[in-house]
Amino acid sequence: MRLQTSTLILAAAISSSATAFAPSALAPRQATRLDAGTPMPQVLPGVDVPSPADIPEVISWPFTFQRVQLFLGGSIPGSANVMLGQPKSNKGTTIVAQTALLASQKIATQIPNASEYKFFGNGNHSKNLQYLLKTNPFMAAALTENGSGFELRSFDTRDPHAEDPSASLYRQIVSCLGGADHRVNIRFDADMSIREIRVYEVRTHYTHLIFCSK
Amino acid sequence: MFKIRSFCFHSAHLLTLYGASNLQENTGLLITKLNKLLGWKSEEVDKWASSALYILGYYASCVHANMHVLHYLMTAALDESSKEFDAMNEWASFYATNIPNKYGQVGDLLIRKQPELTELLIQGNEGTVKDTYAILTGSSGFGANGDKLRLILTKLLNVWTTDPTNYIDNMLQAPKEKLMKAGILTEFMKHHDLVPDYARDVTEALKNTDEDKFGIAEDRLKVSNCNELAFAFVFCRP
Repeated sequence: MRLQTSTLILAAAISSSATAFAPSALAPRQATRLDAGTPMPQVLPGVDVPSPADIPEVISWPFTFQRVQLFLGGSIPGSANVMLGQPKSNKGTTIVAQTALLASQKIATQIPNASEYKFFGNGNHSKNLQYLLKTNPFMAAALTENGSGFELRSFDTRDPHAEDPSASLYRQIVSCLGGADHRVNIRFDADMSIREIRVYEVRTHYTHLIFCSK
Repeated sequence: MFKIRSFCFHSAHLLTLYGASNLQENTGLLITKLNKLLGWKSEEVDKWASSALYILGYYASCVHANMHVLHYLMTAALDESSKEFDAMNEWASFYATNIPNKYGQVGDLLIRKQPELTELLIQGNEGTVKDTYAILTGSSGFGANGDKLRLILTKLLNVWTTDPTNYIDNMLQAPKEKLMKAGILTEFMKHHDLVPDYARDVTEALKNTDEDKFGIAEDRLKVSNCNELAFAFVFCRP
């Protein structure tokens, strides 16, 4: 079930990213009216969505569109069926996705020393986590200070149920998730090596110390 | 094979005898001692790192979606405030005619309010499908509670708009100096450090083009928080 969801999320995320690569430049000037007068749906309270009549037509950008289609057409159908329904521990499925992507993009043949490149999807999740937390601003922003190091903190170990409005933004946003396996605290040292992993199991209300390296 | 998780389960029951308030920490200490004897499993570390990556993907997508909302409001405000200043409006309108699409997509694809059962039954297919497959709040997506998430993101939007010059500081949850010292976001900050000079240069160029019209546009551009949760731009008509 988790994998099924993940595949959908991947496909949908890439689809929505595709529109980001097709900017509708030089569209005929039409209004973006905040005071349209008619009630409109709101994504966030107080922020109206423009009515469909106010949204200009998207202007095609053939080259970008073609590249996006190449990616979508080549990699998603090839990997989605293989990944669907597989347990997350099956690292072979992510390698299939990686292979399908590289084949569809013909990236490997264009890079002289491709074998020396470190692609994502290598199954080394702890290394990927450290790398992304160090380089990705969205993800690094989730880190909180902990002693001489940092922590990715999604629950309070003293009271995992607590709803704390002063908690970090990361913890607040994660608290919107139900389901299992979403409450993981990971403590890093100053070099971003993992020092401790603690998990809160929502269904049983127990915390588990998964890993600790002092 | 003896499972650490099953140990936790049973030992936690026993430890309730020592008092519920110390339950979590006591369990942790026992597990620490146990695992020092048994050795840690690297697969477990990898498994939970993958779980953290999954959650970070969700978290980053929430913040990213909110940035589309901010972008929409900012570009609409720039367009409105520069109606009498052609040089600026030509630049502002380029965004204002295209960015609303992205805000619409946030509402269609990413974030939906929590549907009520009766609403689900009455609303018909389109709303139900969108609610179900919304990437962040749909039951077939990450499954976040839409109502709760929207309140958090609205508050965040208010922080961004009321204190725009400290945007990065407001977003980082750890001290920036400490992050830099640890080699975190060093490349990103090189990009970020270009922003103030760029903003100053563009502002100076627009001001030099027509100082009076620039002043009017700047006066008309106001940001206001109507209350704790509701958010609005207020355009001051001349």
